Amino acid sequence: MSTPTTSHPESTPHPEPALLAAFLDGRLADPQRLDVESHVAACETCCEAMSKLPLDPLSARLRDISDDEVADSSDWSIVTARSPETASAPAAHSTHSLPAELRDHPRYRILEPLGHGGMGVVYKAQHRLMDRIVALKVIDGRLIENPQMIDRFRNEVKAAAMLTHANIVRAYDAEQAGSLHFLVMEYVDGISLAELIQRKGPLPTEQALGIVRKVAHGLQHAYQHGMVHRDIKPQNIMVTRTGKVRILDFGLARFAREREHANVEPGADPETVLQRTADSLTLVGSILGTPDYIAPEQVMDAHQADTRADIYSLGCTCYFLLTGRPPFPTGTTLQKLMAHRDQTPTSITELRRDVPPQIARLI
Amino acid sequence: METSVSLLERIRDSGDSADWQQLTELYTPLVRIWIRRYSSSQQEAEDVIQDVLAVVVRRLPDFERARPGSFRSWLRTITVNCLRDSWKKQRLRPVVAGGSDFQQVLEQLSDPGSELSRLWNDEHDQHVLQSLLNRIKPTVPEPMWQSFFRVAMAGEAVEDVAADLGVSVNSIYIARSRVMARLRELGQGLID
Repeated sequence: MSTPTTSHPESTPHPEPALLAAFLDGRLADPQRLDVESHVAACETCCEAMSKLPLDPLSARLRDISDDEVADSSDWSIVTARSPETASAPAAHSTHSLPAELRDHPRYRILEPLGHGGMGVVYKAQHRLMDRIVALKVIDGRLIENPQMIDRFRNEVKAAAMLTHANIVRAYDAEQAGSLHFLVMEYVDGISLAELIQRKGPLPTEQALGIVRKVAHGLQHAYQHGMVHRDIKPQNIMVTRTGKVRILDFGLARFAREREHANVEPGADPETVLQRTADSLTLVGSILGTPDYIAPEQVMDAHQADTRADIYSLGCTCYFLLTGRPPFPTGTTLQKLMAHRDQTPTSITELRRDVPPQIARLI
Repeated sequence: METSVSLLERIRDSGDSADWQQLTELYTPLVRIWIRRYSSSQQEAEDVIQDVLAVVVRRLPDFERARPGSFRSWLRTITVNCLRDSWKKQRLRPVVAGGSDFQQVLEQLSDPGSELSRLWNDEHDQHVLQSLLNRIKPTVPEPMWQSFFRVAMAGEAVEDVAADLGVSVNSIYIARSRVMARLRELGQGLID
């Protein structure tokens, strides 16, 4: 970058603080802006002064831009389109596992399986008329057994489709093909945070916090629309090669998570609730995964849990990004649930020397 | 005659079709997001979006920027009016989640102080800033962009970025000033 040093700081008087602020925030028109610029180029005193200036409203708003399409200095090269293992997977279980209902779907042409995500198999597909590439998630039949559940599923997806935010995977539609229910959503060319850590190991603090910040923006948007996620975890957050961050399964996660509590009667004592929830989680654990990131209040009563439970899960996710393991990695489902309620996890600073103590305390 | 850098002024002065195109490209995604939220079919939504853009084109010459945020309020009013019209003419079958009805959505969006309108403002500002920055990025040298991005957007300390990029603290401040000036020029009247 060229920094013209035509004038000397001693030769021109220092600009007033208000003028410096206007300069820094781009509020000066050109001849004047250039004057100040040539002074600033050689003046340490003015740099010192500018470092103490408060942010003007526009500059403050720049900090809030959660979408990261503009640029991100972190290294995202690890996020190649597909890992070698999954790249070979489509060939291995190619067409024979594709449900008949999807093989000749009138609207969607299935391109390839993307993997087995939470709650069902995910396919990359193309909308036949619109050419749009989407992801189809076929919902595990065990989650949708009766008409009420189908209705609930549809309602949750409809509500989630209202969410449009740079950090939330867009849900387009809930569809049915024969007895098959599937969700049509935005296709994200990337990998989950779980995969990212598996490939790369724990992240640098700055990069981890950058991701957490973007997820938090997404949660804030959802909160403003009265939505909670209920299953924030590394497996449900995608990153792309350019460092975009997207939360998966809004609505769907809540729908499935509530299913876990179906057999807990209201008013049961806390230990019974915990035991029943653990039983139920073990039962559907194969579908939803282990409760490594669940908030204590959500265990006790899923219907009462609000955005704060998501924030708790995001905290656990942050712990995972920095250490490569969840806060309570060992034990049975029941023991993990109790640990979230009763224990303090191993401090991050014990597992990682380079994480600033202030950050460790926060998590 | 010197051409103004501000998109709004360029349109006001000459009405070049390329400028109109830019304005439409800038605002269509935002309007689409809002209209899609309440429409049950994509086709219906696209029709309403076209209505909104048509009104913007027709009325822009009369638009007067009275105070900060005028343009986004103006656009919100047009959007809510087009939504209401289409609904009344039954060209739009609205879908609303969370138990509120469409009438309520329209009322909230018409009221500048409502929560929904605040949400509109936030999303408008975020969207417009994002789009303008995307437009500016390819026009500035990469080191200047890095300086600006890391300090102004990512919120890193000026000293850290300077050390990391191997440039002076002074040049970081200058980079920031230059990009901010471009951003304000380009978005004059659209952002405040």
